Amino acid sequence: MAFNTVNQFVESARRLVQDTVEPYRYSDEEYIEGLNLALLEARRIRPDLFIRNNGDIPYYTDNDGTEVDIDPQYRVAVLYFIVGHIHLRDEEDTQDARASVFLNKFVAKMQTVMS
Amino acid sequence: MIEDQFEHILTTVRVRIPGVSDDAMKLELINVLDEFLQDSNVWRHEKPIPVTPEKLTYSIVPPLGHPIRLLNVTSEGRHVVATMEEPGVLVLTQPVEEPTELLCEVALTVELPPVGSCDTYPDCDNWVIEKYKGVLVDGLLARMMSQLAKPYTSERHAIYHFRRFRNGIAKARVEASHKNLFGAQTWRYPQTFATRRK
Repeated sequence: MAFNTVNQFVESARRLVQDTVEPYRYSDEEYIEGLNLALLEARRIRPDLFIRNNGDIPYYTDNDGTEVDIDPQYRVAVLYFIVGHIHLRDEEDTQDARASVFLNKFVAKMQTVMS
Repeated sequence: MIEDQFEHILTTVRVRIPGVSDDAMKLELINVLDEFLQDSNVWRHEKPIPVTPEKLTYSIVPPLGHPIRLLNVTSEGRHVVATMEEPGVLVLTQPVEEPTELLCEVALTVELPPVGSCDTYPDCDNWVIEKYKGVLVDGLLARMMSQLAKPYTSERHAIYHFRRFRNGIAKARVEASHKNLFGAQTWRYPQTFATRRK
């Protein structure tokens, strides 16, 4: 199954955060916000990934089967950003170091091959 | 099929530089092709133009591509003096004496596709891409590797491929001037001619 829709990103991020049992610790909106911010950051670092839409950045609001318009090679990087963004929230179960690891991983994957 | 030729170029580059996006390659491919055609005069078009004594200016509209350089204007085998200051606009230096037909030869380059269109390839004669795909691969590799802060950024490799690209353009220009005829002009000035003092 191709990893390309909003709900697949949210589901995978939940697994990495270990937030798979209801009631969830983080809402769908928070994950989708992470996805939208990831695309904003990707546009800054890699403008070549947004040529197709004249540089416009896609924006998502619902956790559904809408396809995320990003090159398949960089979908894992986007997933890591979402997880890092979730971990940034100040809660007991959150570690800043883990947030930094994921956010740095996002940048590294965007800019280097060996990451 | 010209699409197959372009796809071969993109696949070759895709394999050699991991992490590259197809849209970025297609964008740069147009720039590479434009530089290659602008500097080599490989893609040419001959067009007969009916002229009259009253008029000095005529437009040249090739079926594909965009005129960049006026290579030759003849009338019944004789050279006619003309210019093309604005690409695509032929200007005769002197009016002709009677209505006749001039044969104009222009060098062409590719036209820019609409902004944001990533699903089409530039229009160009198939044989140009087929014959010079190796040169175009080098040009594309050089341009991609010279981009800043990308997984495939490599100044060293960019310089290497750019040098190969420029050598390819120089060879193509000579081949085009000889109409792809092997051994058309083997004589050249002695190499010390330019610096020798009397």
